Amino acid sequence: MRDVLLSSYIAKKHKGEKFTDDELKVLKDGNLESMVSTFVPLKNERYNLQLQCVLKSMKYYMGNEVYLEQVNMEDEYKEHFVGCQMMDGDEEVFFAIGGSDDALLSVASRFAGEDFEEFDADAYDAVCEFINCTNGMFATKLSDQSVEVVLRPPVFYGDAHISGKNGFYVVTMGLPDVKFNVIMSVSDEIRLKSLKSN
Amino acid sequence: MAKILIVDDSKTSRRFLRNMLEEAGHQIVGEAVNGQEGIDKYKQLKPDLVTMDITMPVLDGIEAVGEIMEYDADAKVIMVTAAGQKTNMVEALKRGAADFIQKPFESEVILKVVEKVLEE
Repeated sequence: MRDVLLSSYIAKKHKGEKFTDDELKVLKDGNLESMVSTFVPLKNERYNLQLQCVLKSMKYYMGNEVYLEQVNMEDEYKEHFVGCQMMDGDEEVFFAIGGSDDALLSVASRFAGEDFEEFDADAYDAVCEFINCTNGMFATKLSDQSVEVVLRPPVFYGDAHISGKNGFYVVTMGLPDVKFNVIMSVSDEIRLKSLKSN
Repeated sequence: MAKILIVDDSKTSRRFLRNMLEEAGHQIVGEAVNGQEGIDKYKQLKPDLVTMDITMPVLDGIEAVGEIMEYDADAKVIMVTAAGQKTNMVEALKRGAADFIQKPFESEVILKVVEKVLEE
């Protein structure tokens, strides 16, 4: 099956422009880390590394149909359901997955390998464990750079409002049937308000 | 085949592990959702082996493995965690963990490590 993870994002961003020789080489090599660094310019290397881990995790757990739709810098974000996890220590990291019931049901079902019919505690748990595995990958990569962080247990919120002092990334991911958002923040003060929590 | 206690706050993770281990013929004698419950169930069930996550509420896996080893120096605990930093690995092994596997876990890897630890 064709790997679509970054191809439509790159095609969209490069509409009408030629690829440079270096860009062509990166595309031919197909190395995910190089593709992220080259085609998805983010604020700094830390964010690059975080996005690389997110996309690797997406591909591993969501399968070959998952794709990157959009990357935006925001200073606030509201969502119906958000699963999130903090990491602290040498860096403050916030990572969340947000979306509608259907979107997160799709994520939960793909991760757990079972068809959840409603967004219940088991589905919440699957999304939280997906977040944990993704953050674990990032924490390990940070550790390789001698940056040590501690993962806190993931939690779930309903009707969440996220805000950050310096802006954070909202990365829209797509599956054939749904879209969902990944919220990434490194070294920022994130505030999260919710009307419901689990 | 061994009697195994699974300690992980994620039901999804516990289910993955249970399925893998039962398919290989092992018996899951209990599950715990945090480190403290893991210690209590260890004392109650006396399993042959424990799989232990690190990031858990109430008491994390590294503290829990230390307390289990203090209670029973012959306990066999395998860390199975997303938090695969070397510092965690070193600390867990210092506290007495027998081995350390980072998630995502592959069935073959888990079963190989379980077999190896049980034979020690």
